[in-house]
Amino acid sequence: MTAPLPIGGKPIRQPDRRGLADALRLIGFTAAVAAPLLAYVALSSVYQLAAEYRVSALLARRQQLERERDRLSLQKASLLALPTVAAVAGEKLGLVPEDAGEPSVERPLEPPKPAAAAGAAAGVPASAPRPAKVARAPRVRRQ
Amino acid sequence: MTGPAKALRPRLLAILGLAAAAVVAGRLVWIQGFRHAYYEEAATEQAQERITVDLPRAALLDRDGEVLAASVRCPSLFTFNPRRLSDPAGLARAVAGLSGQEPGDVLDRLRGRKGFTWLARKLPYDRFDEARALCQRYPGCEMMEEWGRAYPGGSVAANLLGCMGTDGGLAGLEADWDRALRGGSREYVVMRDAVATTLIPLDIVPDVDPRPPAVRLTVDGAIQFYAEQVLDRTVAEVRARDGVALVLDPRTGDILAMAVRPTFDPNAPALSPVADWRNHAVLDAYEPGSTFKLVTLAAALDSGRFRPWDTVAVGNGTLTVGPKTIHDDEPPLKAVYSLEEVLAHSSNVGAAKLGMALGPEVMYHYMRRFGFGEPTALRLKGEPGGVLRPPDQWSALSLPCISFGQELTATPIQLALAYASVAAGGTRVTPRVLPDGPVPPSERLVAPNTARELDAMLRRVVEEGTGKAAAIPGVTVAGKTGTAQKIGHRSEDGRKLFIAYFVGYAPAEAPRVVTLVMVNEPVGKIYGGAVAAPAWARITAFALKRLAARAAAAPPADLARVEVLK
Repeated sequence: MTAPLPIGGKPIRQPDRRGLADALRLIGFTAAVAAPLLAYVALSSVYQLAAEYRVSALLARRQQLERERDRLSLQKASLLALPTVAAVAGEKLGLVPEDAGEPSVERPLEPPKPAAAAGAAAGVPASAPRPAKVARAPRVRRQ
Repeated sequence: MTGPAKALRPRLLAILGLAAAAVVAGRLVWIQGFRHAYYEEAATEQAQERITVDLPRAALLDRDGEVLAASVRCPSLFTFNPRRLSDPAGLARAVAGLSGQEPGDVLDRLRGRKGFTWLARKLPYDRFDEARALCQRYPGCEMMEEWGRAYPGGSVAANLLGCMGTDGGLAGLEADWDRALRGGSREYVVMRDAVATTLIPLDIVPDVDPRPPAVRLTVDGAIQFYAEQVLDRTVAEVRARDGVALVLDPRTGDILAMAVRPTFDPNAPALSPVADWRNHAVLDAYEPGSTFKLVTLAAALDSGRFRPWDTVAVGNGTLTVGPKTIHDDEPPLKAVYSLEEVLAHSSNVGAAKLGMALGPEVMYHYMRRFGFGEPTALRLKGEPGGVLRPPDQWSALSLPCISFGQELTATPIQLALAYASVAAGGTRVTPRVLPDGPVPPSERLVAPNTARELDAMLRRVVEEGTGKAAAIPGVTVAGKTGTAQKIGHRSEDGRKLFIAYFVGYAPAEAPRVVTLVMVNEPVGKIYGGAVAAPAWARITAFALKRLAARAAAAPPADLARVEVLK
């Protein structure tokens, strides 16, 4: 408690030591509040940056996959295109187009064996039931 | 300086300072407040640029949904500044090797330029790895993606589909329907650096797949391919200049196949001469020759002036009109032919006499009615109507010559449509390449009875006339041969030039296909019955089998419709 100022006396400035304590308290309080905030902001930026890199990488990957999908779709379409099929049929299977457009085999096939003989050759007893569906031999084109 | 003046000085300085500050503040308010938009726009214009990137085009499919043409991401090469390239000559050589350009052309583009420069655009879609490797080998060379076009079937239906250039369609449907097939474009804002070099982000291809709905055509891929193979063999066998094989459905007007030779690979159109891109089936008109006798006979029967059993004196197969003598190709079997026999034996004299008996007005009326002299409803760009002069411009020789298919021209599609009309019972058949296109109301060209009589005559052509080679075992065929002389044209060695035709439909009792085979300038064999008819039979037999198999299978999934803007 400060002593009352006598009448006619002059005030004397005295240092207020509580101010320093208040300032330190304020700094401490601010630091306590700001530090987590700053940490949050800093970490957010780092995470955001990392996320952006990740998104960019994913977009690039998506683009690459779309390009690959395009390429494969077209490759599939090219493989299924009739010129390709005809070339493979002619070069690898020896098929040639007949006049009416039916495929036929250029080289003569062996004459079809009787079912029993064919089954025996394949290790199937003659009494075994015949397959439900027997593929017909292609027509032979005599050269 | 007195005391008051000295005291005034700081005030004066303060006032001046404040005034200066007020001026600056005022200017700031003026710039930022009132001229804000102007300066913002100026700054944006200086630092940014807008570029337009084309989005993918609609795919073209055949009637079964098989891909005929599709858009695909392609690598494009560019440089931000050619002056910063360390080895422009080496880069030019490498780019030329990848793109098929001349190295000198690439180098010329690089020399004397600064700023963004294209090196090669829309390289084949399977060359991404090579393009990327090239960019790594030559610093300064950059790669970006653009939408290109690929044709998985190669040259199948190439003359109908056409091909693409860097900025749009160059030929065929790709050019004619360019606006409708385009998927639009998207505008991107890109940055420019201090020396105004455009910096294009490399991931400019949009994240979403913006493909427009595919367009399904009426073309049947299998019939198209088979027709092309047969036409190839036929054209090669007689060393012809070009050829056309057309297959259409007379019930709907659907074009099932449009094979044209010579052809090209639309994946690399620059490797073929531009003439090979041409669709002769629609864009070129030829003398129809004896196939045109159908129109003469239709006019004779439908006008009521003649009946099928009426006779025409053909004498010894010659007819002199003024200074010119008209000949039959073969001497007549007898001196008098019925109308049926005129068609079956393709008598020029008989047709000429019929035409002269009908008169120019009647003939012209029926020619126009069958669609000659005007483009078809396909309305492809550049489609001619053919040469058909009005009667007041005809000479004394015009009428007899026109009656057997000379002195006029018609496109192969016009000719096929005339026969399709007979196959359809005498009604007009409107051609279409889009299955969902509008079907115009039926319009009668000749009476049903006339169509039946013409049908019987056309059957006789194949049974006992000039078209025996067009017979298909087990199928009733109706058709007509044609061998047109190209008047005024001769080969380099002085030979006369001809066009061989066969056009007809099958099965005659319920027509499913109308087929036309045209072989232009054959060498050796020249007659339609010998050159075109065998090919016609092969193509038609295949088409009938294919359609029968198709009818037994499930219909294709309904695909999105696209309105084609003309």
